[in-house]
Amino acid sequence: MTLTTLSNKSFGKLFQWAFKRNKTIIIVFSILMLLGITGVLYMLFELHAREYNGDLSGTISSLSVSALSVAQFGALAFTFLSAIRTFSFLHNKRSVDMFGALPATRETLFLSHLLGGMTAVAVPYTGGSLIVALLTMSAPGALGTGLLMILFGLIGIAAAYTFTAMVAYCCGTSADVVIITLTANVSFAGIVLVLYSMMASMIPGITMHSLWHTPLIALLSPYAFTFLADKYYFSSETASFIFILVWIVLFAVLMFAAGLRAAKKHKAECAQGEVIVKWMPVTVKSCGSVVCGGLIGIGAATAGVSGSGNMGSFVFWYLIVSFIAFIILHFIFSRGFKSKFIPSLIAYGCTTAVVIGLSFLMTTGMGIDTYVPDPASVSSVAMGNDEFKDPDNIKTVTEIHQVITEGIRKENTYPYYFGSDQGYNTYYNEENEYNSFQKQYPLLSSGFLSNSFVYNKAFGFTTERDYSFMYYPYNKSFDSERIELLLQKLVNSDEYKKNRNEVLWNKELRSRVTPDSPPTLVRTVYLPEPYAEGAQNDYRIDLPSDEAFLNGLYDAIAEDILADKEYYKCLTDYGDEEVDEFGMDTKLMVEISLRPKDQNNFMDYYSLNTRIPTRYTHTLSYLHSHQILTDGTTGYIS
Amino acid sequence: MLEIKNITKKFGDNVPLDNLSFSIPTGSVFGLIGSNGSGKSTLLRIISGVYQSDGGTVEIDGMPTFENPVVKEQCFFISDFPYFYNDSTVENLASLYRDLYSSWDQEKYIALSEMFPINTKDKIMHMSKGMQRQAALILALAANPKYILLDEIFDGLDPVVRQLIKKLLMGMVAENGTTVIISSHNLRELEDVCDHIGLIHRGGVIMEKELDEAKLGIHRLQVVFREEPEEETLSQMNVVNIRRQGKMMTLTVKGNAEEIEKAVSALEPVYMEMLPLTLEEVFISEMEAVGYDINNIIK
Repeated sequence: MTLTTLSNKSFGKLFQWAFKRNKTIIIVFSILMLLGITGVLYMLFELHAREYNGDLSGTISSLSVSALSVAQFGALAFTFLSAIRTFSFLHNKRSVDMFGALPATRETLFLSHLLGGMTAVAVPYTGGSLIVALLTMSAPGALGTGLLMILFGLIGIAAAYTFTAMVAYCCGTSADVVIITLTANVSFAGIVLVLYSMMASMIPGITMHSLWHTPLIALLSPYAFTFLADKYYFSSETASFIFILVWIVLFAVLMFAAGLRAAKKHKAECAQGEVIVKWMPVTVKSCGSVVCGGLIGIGAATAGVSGSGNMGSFVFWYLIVSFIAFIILHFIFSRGFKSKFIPSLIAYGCTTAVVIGLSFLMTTGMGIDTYVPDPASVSSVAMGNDEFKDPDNIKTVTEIHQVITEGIRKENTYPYYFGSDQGYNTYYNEENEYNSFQKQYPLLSSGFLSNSFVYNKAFGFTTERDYSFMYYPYNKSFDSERIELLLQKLVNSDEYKKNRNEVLWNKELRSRVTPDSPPTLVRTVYLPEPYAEGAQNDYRIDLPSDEAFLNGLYDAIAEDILADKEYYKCLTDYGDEEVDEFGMDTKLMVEISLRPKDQNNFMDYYSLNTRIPTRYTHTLSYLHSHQILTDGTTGYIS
Repeated sequence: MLEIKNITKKFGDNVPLDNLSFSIPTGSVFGLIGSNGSGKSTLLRIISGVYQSDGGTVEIDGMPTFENPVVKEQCFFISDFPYFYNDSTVENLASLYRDLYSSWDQEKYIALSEMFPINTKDKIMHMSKGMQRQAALILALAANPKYILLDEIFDGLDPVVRQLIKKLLMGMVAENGTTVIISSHNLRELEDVCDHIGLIHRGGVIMEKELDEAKLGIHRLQVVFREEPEEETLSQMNVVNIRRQGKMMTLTVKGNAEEIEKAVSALEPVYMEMLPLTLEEVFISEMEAVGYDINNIIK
């Protein structure tokens, strides 16, 4: 039926009509795109003219991405304006007479206006963006990325346009279309934000950070889809990226089908002001109220404005603020209080009940605080910047996580309070306690491995927890001894050793990097207390930079590190110091800063920064054989 | 033949059309008259396919009009306030209608454009109310439809243009067998062009017949009696309205003219004269019969 409609003559004529109706938008958008292209051209000319000696490709690539992002923003802004304008004929009794009497079906009217309006936005957007992508194609990968961004923009336009068209068929006035489109785009995201904020404010380990990794927040915000696709594409969040792409297409199809149905069932007389689909403004009012109440409620409870920051104080503030917000929103929507106040109030009451119910569930009843993923279900886990894929290491990480969750439950009130430190008052904060803690648990106290956990699971799902807010690790609630032992086990693993010192094992990397400055052998001498409190002296010697020497050195260190059963001692002050002839503590270190060959940019640095204890016999003999070390084990020629 | 079968239309609790039925013969000029809010415009919108009825159907030659482009192509509707975009001109609207109406007559369009005092390249929104109606009429007549639906078309037009429009419409009826349906409160103008009238009130049809037949079915008599007959005697004659001016009585009576004359003569009047009724008087009389008269409104 729809395909037949597309081929009939009235569709073609009405399509042209709708396209021409957008000529102001086409002209303005085209002018802005041309100005943007001129700006890009000027910047490219500047970059070449002043013989930019930084990363030219990277800069051009960034320029391309920035320009295309601005074009996407423009396209979505014009999508909004165009959709409102194109479908405004539905909201004027006289234009309804004109279009309704034309020899065309409602389906034809819907399709022709939708596609005509969308084309009016898509043509200047695609044309301008393609020119930008071609202008910046000299940067490797920029053209491909540019084309993908244009595609994201186009499907974003389709989703946003179909959504606004569907809303237009459900509303009696263009003002309602504007209000509902804007509020619908933010209200669902707002509810997710409220619930997530609540979890982040109350549940140990949950942070707002992980919210931005989930497409859930923008599930019903078609005007944000494009930017979300960009974000996931550039941050290589594959699962979220695929999900959002599929969702955008699905959403556009759903909105198209809903719009088509609304067009067929639409009561033309509703141009007189009645809103057909009553649930839409009612829902938006409810959601808007909930978001206002929720955010203020969380803020008030967290700041301890009333009560002790428990759920009760949240609910108190939530109810007051959300009801005021509801009254204001209802007044705005209904231009007074008479229209549909009771149904709206009922909807608000139901939404409030659901949100409060969910709040209780999420913060007390779902075991989110104690949840630790099953190691078997985890493909990799990141603790801060360190990633582990080895099953044994994944298991160790989950055990560390488990110890933390047990510590939280053991010492703290349940359900939790709002605010970051409520209920966590047992820290190693006295000076003597603090020093003793550091000495006893050097790995833990040095924060050597981060206190954030990101588990990657099947189908791209992730679980994130972050315990930094609880003053981890200086929190007496945790079994620090057990964590220290698990950390030792973790850093002693081959995987950790290899990841930490990548250049030692990755031959391909070795061929691509070169020392940024002369490699250095350092001997750090810690003077005993009576001589200088906490002072240290460094003795440095430059090492040869030639590849043959360095490769030999890398191999020797690699062999020693891999064989080292107490590698963790190389990372912290575990009393693994050497004692020199004067009885002073010393450490021997190799420090090499590496950068990619033939590149002058200041990014992509690698480093090899490792201690060489006496048990590293291969390294020490190598240094001896090259006459860098002379006496005993740790002395060197100066 | 345009058939309106049991049409019902509701706007919430308001029911402007309630089970309304009548038919309009092909090639006629049908005057749709009625009180304010009686549902005339709503009926025209249902016929032209703008509104969907809540019950019943409108059929042209046996085919429903709603969502039927083939049938809608035979109709052209000009609403009481024709709509134009800010940048609409007669020319660009003609380009739209030209492709949508296969019956579009370009020569006729050119001829009409020259006939009406309108520059087809001017923006219609900048024109006066009357000029806007003329613009809409140029497009409607050039589309050459089988059915032209006109809502309050005579509003804002000067007498000369009104005459011109009536002439053009009559010409289309004569030459092409076009059916014209005009809804208007200007009964004087309707009287000139209509051969059929339909009177609707509160969603129902009060009268639907040929204009002459309508006029023949109701009569006005001026009579002077030596002694005024009793009310009961007059009520036996289906008197719709009585007005008194001294001894002179003006009676509006429904029925056959000869029978009425005979009945009044039997009362031995001193003076009696049968007067012709205008459409407006027919309208008022019919509406008074259903209780819609000025006395009822004032009280």
